[in-house]
Amino acid sequence: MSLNFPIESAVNEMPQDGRDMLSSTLEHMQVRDSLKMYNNLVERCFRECSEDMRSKALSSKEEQCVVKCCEKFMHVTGRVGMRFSEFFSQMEAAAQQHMAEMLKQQEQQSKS
Amino acid sequence: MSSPPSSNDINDPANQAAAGAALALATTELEYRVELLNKMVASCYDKCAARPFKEGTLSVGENSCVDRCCAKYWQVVAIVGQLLGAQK
Repeated sequence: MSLNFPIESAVNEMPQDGRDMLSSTLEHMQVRDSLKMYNNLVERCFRECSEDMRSKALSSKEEQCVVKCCEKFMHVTGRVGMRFSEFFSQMEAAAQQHMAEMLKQQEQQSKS
Repeated sequence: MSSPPSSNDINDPANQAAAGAALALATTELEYRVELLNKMVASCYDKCAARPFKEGTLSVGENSCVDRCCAKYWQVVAIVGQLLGAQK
């Protein structure tokens, strides 16, 4: 789904306090998402790597596992993000083409 | 859209309402995309990261697994969307 409404021009036409509000909302969303991601990653790597509770400190094996778990997660995030944006730009291009074709059809219909 | 957003008068309440609605829609869309991305990362990490972890980087096999995982995930998104759309 892509937005038909020209969102950029809407933002440009907004009064200053509206734009401030928008950017603070976006910032808030970003902070919230990165905290969420932090929590999720801790949970995931704890689940993947802690083996037993015989000691209160992480063993060196567990510690290595946590490091690799995080690094790998970052790499997977990068790769998936790349494919993700590819997909969305393809979908938006297809939607735009579809819109253009529909407009053309409408024009032809109104002419005849 | 009843009021054309091409008119530049920002004081027109109809335009303001349309802009507000579009922003709300865009915010929801953004939230949806972030959620989708997070779920994709989680699913493909679960499926593709070889355990036990040997290194922090992705091996060639893991990389192509992630690529295929993404493609499959999109296919499932499309199928489920179609089925949900057909229900109504």
